[in-house]
Amino acid sequence: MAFKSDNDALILGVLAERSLHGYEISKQIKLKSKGSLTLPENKLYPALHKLEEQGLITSEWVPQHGKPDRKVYSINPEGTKELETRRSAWKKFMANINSVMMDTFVKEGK
Amino acid sequence: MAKFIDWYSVELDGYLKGRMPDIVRFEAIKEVSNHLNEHVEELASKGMEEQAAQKAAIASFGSPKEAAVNLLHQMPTSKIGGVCFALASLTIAGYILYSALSYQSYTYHLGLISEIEPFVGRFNYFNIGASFLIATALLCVVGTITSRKIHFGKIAVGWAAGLAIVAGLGLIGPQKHFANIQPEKFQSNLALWSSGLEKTRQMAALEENIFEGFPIPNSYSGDQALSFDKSKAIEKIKTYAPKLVAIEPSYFVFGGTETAGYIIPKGRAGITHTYFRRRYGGTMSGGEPKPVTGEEFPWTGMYLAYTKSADDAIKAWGNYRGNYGYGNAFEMTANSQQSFLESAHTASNRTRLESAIVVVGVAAVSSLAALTMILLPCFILFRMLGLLIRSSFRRVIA
Repeated sequence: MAFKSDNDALILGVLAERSLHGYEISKQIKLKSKGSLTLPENKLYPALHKLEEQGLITSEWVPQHGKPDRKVYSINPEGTKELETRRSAWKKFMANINSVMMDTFVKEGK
Repeated sequence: MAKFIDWYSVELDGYLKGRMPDIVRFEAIKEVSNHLNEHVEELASKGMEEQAAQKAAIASFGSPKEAAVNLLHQMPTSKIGGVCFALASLTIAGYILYSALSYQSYTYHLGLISEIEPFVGRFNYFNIGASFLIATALLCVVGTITSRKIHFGKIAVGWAAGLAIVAGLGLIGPQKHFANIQPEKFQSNLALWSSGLEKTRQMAALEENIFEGFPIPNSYSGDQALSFDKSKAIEKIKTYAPKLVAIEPSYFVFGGTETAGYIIPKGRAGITHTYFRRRYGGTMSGGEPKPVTGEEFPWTGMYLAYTKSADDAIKAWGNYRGNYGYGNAFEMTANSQQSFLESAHTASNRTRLESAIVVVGVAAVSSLAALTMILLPCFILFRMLGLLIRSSFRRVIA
């Protein structure tokens, strides 16, 4: 059984640790979720642009030696606040799911 | 060697071009290209051959079309531009509605505003209608500059909504009466106008008889008057001018101090449209004639006078004819009356559906012409902005 992931929350979650560029964001999500969550790559940038438009993250073109400039994204205070809201909602959601699924599991003595 | 990624970028650009502001498009393509290159580097570092790595990175990212659809779906849009075009859609709808309700040059216009108190005489197509168009043009220009995009969809919605409202009013709204005449009086007016036309035709025939004495078809001057048979011309005037008056004295206005002698047309007036305008306050070129009472033929008038002198009579009739060139003034009037009657017959036979179709058709064509004149400069502006942005972006990446 799978639950629909919240791409925006996942992006905010990895950016909460440090600023990252697009490819690294998608890698971090995969890495942290041990490969169980993969954000479709072509949906990553529209999602980043949307978050930027909403004022939750900021971006900056960073020059690199011998390579093209890279757009690096950072979470801002509004984004951090939004992440906290989503974390709370997720905890509540998990608690509700647990109360439905795990009670039965415990009663059956498994 | 980034052959496949370059190809991918070109493909992606093809899908995005014209669908998002250039600066946003350039950044998005650059970002995607960087992403693919990062992926290729990682795969290559794990030992994969470069071309295979490029193919794998592209496969992982998805097709250019799919990527373009996702980018376009969540593209941030300028709110100001959208609002401007939304307002422009309202003003174009307003223009269409106002035109259909007021502009009398639409033979079948709904004409409601211009005939309902307190709006009678207060609305003018050329200032209010033009204001709607000017507002539409300004909003479209501002919207194009701020959003770097022409929102054709919003304009199309306003245009279609305007036409739909006009169609609805044409089908179920209040009805305009032809020439302000109530339907119950319409048939009796048609009969009156038909007999009026018949009289005008008779007068045209008499007028032609008078002019048989004048060999000069196009102009008259005193010198030329000496070159023809004046006695014959006088005989024609004496014979036919009184008959002309006898047909329908109420059509004539006598001026001057003489009460007997030769009947002559007075001054330049003759029978003219000026007379019609003075008497009924309408115009020939402004759409349907609108007689005040609807009980008289809208325009047949002649200013007449008497003169004692035969020479003055010849000169007056000669000048009168000269004023109308080759034409016969009563004949011209009869033709105008004939057109009016044909319009009246058509009006009496037309259904609401036919009327609505014609009004909507005229409104659609005229508003499309206006929109073309508005949106063409916007499109040129849009292209110019695109070129400016592109050149500045090239400078930045150079």
